[in-house]
Amino acid sequence: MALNETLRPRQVRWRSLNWSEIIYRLYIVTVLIFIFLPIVVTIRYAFGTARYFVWPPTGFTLDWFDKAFHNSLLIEAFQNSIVIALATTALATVLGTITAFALARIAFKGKNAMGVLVLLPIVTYGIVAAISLLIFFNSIDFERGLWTTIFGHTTFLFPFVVVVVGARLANFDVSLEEASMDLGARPVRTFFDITLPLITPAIIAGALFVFTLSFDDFILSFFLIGNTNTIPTYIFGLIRYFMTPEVNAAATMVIGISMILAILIGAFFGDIKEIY
Amino acid sequence: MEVAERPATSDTGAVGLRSRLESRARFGSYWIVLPGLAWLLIFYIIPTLIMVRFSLLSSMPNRGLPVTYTFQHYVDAVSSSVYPKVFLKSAQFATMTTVALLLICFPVAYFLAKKTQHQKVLLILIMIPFWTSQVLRAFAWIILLSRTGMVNELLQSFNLTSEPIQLIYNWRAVTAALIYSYIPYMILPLYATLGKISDDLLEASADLGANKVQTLFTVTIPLALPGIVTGVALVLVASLTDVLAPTLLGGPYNTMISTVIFNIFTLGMNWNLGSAISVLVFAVLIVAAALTVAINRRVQYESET
Repeated sequence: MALNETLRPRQVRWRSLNWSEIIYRLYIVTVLIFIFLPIVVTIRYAFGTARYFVWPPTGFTLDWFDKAFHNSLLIEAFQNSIVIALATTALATVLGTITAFALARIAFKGKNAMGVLVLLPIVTYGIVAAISLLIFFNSIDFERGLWTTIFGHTTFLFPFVVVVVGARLANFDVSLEEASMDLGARPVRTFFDITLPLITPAIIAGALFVFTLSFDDFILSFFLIGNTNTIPTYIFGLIRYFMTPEVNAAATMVIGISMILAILIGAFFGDIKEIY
Repeated sequence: MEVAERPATSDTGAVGLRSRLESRARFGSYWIVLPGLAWLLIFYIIPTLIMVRFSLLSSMPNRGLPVTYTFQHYVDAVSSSVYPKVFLKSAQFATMTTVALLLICFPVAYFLAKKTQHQKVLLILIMIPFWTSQVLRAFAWIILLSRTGMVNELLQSFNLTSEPIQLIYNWRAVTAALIYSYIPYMILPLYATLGKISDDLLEASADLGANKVQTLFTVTIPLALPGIVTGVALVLVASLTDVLAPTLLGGPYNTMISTVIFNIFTLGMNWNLGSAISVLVFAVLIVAAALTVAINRRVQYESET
């Protein structure tokens, strides 16, 4: 009996489930339903035949997707979102990785100050950040558009790469780099042969993180993009004045893209506990 | 035991080696910090300073009026009959959201950290909706809570109400949307610290005769304090400056401080006053972050000694 218990701990635990455990599990399921309900309902309306949002959604049609694909404003917004997210990802990943490396491996004056400074954009991300950049571009007469949005996104998203890549750099065995240099490899060679392969999963996770956050950002894009739109700013405009299931069709596609990215991030992102 | 020991040994080892690496400066030189520093200087520090300067100017420089430096906008912002009230209301929203999220998320984070073998899958599952834009999530809540929406129809089918009730465009909808938006901000730090608590400690507490509630309050919660502090700070700061929840789900009387700033800059009102309010909010954010770091350092120091 004792042997059995050590051999099959899981079964024993399930058999000993009491009421409080069952209620606990039900609670977790309830929270999961609360988390997913809005998303599922949004997607369901995208395939519904009704013009208005009446519960329950009925029928099945792809008309709203057809309308969305023929909406030139929506397509333009979608293209802008993709261009901005790709450019931001490229800039923020390079900038974030070298900054993380400098903070983890190089001795320089004012390093602690730099470590704090690079985290500030994460703390102040939001409306105040958007306002300060709006005023900045306005006062140097830099016309707002895709570039200003890319600059804004990069500023507030590359610190995330610093955090994710920095955590990886702090947690791997520095003696590998030591050994490489003791064997005569120059620092640049050591970086590309030893360090970079070891931190690549973190860099990919950081890049996916940046792409997703840039793709979903509303507040910076709203103030920095000028006369055109990204998907979130376009949908924001529609919600305030004109809602049809066409929005749901667009939303469904965006949710699909975000979900694929989310699963990829989950796969590449080691453990949140590493960052703490 | 393994869990408790590993970080300690690897940490001291890594620190020793790292400082040796640094002292020899074998890995390139300081120039690689320059791109990041330059970027922050141009797109973060200078814009912030320009915002501060604007908040101190009597009017916008391009209006052709003589411009002088003044504290008038700060005086106006603080002594106004509107803005301090709006700020307090925002703080109230943020506090309600934070308390609710702490109560909702602690059991979930504990489940993830201690009660399941499928934590990675569950964590990805919980995070999925939050990778979609907050605009879309607000839109989803509008559909759910509208007069003909699911919640109203369910209430009627259970005979809880005879006719549709107004569920959106009030403070309840704003709080609900805030709670929904910031679930990950609370769950992730809680999960990260709860996951680090060694099972041995919890078993030791049980072996010494503590029941589950006693263990929770004397062992688990004190050890999870750094995560609780971080989660509370993240949610407070994020919900305090949230724009979308009050704009899309609030009524005309549910203005938050972020909506005030939003309106000043989108409707082309007094940008100098808007800058002054923004600078004040910026200061609140920085102070909140500094406080969080200070409290966490204290908490960690105490739990180590």
